[in-house]
Formats: sequence, structure tokens, C-alpha cells
Amino acid sequence: MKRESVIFTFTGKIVPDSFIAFARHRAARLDLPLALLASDDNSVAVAVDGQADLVDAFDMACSLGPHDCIVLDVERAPASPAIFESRNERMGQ
Amino acid sequence: MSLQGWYPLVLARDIAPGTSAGTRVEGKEIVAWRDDKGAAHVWEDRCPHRGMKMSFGFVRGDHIACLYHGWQYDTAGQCRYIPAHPDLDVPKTIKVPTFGVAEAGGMVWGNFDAEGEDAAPHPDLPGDITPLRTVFADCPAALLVERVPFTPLDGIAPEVKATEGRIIEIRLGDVTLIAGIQPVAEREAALHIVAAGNPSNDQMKRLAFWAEQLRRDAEEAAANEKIGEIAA
Amino acid sequence: MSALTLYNYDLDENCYKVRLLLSCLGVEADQVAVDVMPGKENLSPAILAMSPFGALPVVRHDDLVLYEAEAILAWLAETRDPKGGFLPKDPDAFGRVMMWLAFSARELDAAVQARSTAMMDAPGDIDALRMAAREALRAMDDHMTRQHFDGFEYFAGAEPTIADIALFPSFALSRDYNVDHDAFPALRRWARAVRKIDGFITMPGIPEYH
Repeated sequence: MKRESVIFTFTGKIVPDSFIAFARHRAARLDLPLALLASDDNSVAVAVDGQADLVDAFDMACSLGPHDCIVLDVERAPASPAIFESRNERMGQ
Repeated sequence: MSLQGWYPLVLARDIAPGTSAGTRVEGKEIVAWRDDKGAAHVWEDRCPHRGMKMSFGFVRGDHIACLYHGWQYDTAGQCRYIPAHPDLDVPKTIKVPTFGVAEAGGMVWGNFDAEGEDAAPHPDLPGDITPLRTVFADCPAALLVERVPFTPLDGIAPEVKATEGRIIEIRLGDVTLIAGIQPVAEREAALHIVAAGNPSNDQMKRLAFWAEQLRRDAEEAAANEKIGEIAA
Repeated sequence: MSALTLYNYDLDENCYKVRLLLSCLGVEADQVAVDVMPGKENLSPAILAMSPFGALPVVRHDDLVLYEAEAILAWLAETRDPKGGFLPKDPDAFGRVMMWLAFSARELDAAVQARSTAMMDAPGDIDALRMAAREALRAMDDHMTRQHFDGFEYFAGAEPTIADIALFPSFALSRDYNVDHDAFPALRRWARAVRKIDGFITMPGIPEYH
């Protein structure tokens, strides 16, 4: 199956810690590496990389969000897989 | 409540190759299933997808599929195929928890606190047996076992000998029965019964009637205890 | 031979008994869909004229009008089964089939009621019905356990009869009234034997594969 690297930007009424934990949990469940790019009270941007159907499943799962967040919009943009390599180095993983 | 050691779950006869059976151990939902090569498996009875009972599903060769969306699992509990995403290489995270399994004395046993070599050896039981039936009763396991000597067969009271842990030996005239005790839930129990050796079909039918009466006796005793509790 | 008309509701398990036997016998029938839910069409004058309490299924053939699934099963077996297996002529076998047919209408009716109470909001004490249904299934499992020692895979002997047709749906649909198959190993084996009958069909709630 086709693999993709995608940057998702979720906007709406966001509680950053809650949403990030939720997104990490869903990514882990789908066995997708996740890189956190940015977050504030209105939006969270993450990048994931993996088989297209799993990336779609991640999109769907996070659109529903945790109970204390309301996702009003989701944007997708292609990401370079390099996002994961450089972040791993920086975070010393 | 932590589950220690080996629990009898179902008579080996009652999961034919290519079939599954759901059960509970101290309330924990378990599926026992047999693949087309004859190997038995004991898993958590819950599909990782939407929580549907795997025991509602169906066995296809050496995979078991969930009834809901057809997600298929191999004998290690690993999801291998999702019909809605046929080209997907299913992530390793999608897995059903699996438990230790053994077959002995005509019964399938499960071990929930250890798997593989870590597990204590399973009960050592004779292979020369004829399966009778399982008695499912709405009463605690201890009460079901307690009632055995009080259910006569042709006017003769059975003699019970506790052998080890969850096994009892019952002497009924010239027949010896071996029974595995399964605590299903607080007030539910199962007794998986086999006969030693090879009694005739007519004898097995008589023993089956006896087992039905045991169920009635145990449930009546449980109901009387409950009435006693309420009255007290 | 002129056509049979079956007044049918797809979710009704008594109608399914007749649909199942028709299929196993390879007999065609004109099916008239009766809108039981939400239409309550079974209580319309047209249906009440044939079945005084609005019970389905109803079968019509020329001047004959039959309701009561058990009677329809027996009539179909009597008139449309050249091999004669579904309703044996041997008196003792016949007696056994009739016993289980009566059981399906009497003791097992708690299961039919439990299901309609659970699923279709019919009035009833769901807990009492469920317990009574479970007792009926236990009696069936006890019987099949003993049948298996005699080498028989069906209720009245080695071959399927209308007893099996009449008893099957309430067991197959037991999850609809919250009773699992866990405690009925002999019925699980029997259900697999019923599924092997030539012409076997399912209904909503009974999976194609189990």
C-alpha cells in the first residue's frame, strides 16, 4: 500500500495537552510515528508517516478528538519524511 | 481478582476444529477456539476493533475472524487482514491478548497469569476417558461441588475425592468420573465432566441424566441459601 | 399445482421457520410482505380475517388458509416432501416430532416473547421471559447431549425433521434476548448440523457463517 508523510493541522476549541496525548495514543495504536510540530489553544499541528489507510484512520480518529476538544477543521499537507529523522536527532531518541 | 494456575474452560469435544466457544473465568470473558489443524487457543474474548466478542465470529482455517467487520487474526492473536483495507499491512499493535492453553483429561485448560515455559505444568490427567458433559449452574463453584454427594444415581450416593486444585474424582457405582471445576463468576460455575475409560452409550446417557439432576439440585440449594440470607 | 401465498414479515422468527422449510423443500411461494412494524398491518381486517389474533405466518393455497407455524410446517411436510423425511410416518418418530413441535410452541414461546420484548418494545417482563427461555434452551441442550451419545445429530433422530426447523430460530437468535450460546455446547453442534441441511437459509440476526 502507498505510504504517505502528512502534516495535519487540527483547529477548533483545543485543550493542547489533552489533544496531544489523544493524538499520540491514536498514532501509537496505529503504529504510526508522530512528530509534534506546533500547538496552542486554537490548533495543533502534527506529522505522521505510514500506509495511506492508517494515515486516513488517524485523520478520522483525531477529527473526533477527546471529549474536551472540538475539532472544527482539519488541514492536510504533504510532509517530508525528513521531519521524523531530524526530530528524532533533536530529541535524542 | 487475579487468576492463578490452570482453569478448565470447555470439554475438548465441545470445540470441534473450526469452531469457537465463549466462556468466563471469575467474570473475565474468554474465547476458546480450535483451528483446522486441531490446535486449541485461549484468548481474551474481545476484538481490538470495536470490542465485539470473538466467540461470535468464525474460524477460517488457522485464522479466526470477528463477526462485525471480518478482521482476521492468526494463531498468535495478531490481526493479519482487514477486509475494508485489503492492501493494508496491519500494524502489529492490533492484537488480541492470548493465554496459555493445554489439553488434558478431555478438557481444554487456560492459564491467565503466565504463558509458555513460565507457566506451571498443567494438570496431569489420564487420556483414556469418554467426555460426558458440562454442567452449568447458577451457583458458586464450591456449592456445585458440595452438592455432588447429595445427587444419587439409582439410589446410590456418589463418593467424591478432591485430587488437586480444580479437579475432583467422583465414584458412582462402578463408574469413575473426573470433573474440572470452573468458577465462571461469583454465583455461576461450570463442572466439566468426563468418564474414566469407555462406558457404554446407555451408561453415558444415564450419567447425563444424573448430571442434569445435579444442576437442578445445586440451583435449588443456591436458591434456598439466598432465601435463608434474605430471611436472616 | 396452484401457487402458495405466504403472508410474511422478515424479522418474525415464526415466518422464518416457514421460509426455511420452503427453501429446504425447494418449494416456491408468493410472499406478501406484511408491515408489522411500524404499520401494524397484521392487525388489519384482511389479515385478521385469516388469523384472528393477527399472528403470522399465514399460508393460503386455494381454499385452504392456515396460520400457526407448526401447522404450516406439518402441512408442507405432508404435501410437499416427496422423500417424507421432514415428517416421518413411523408412529414413534412421528410422536417425537410432534412432542418437539409442541415444545416449540409452548415451552419455547418464552424465547419468542423475550425476543419481541427485547427488540420490538412489546410489553412483557423481560427478566422472567429470559429466564424461562433459558430453561427451555437448557432442556433442548440436555436432550441433544443425549442424542449425540446415540449418534443422532437431530432432535428426532439421524435426519432433520420439522422439529429441528421449529426449534432452530429461538436458539440461533438467542443473543437478541441476551442469552449467549456459551452454556449450550450440544445446541452449538446441532446448529451446525441444521446449517448443513440442503436449502438452508438465514434471516436477519443469524449470520451466514458460524
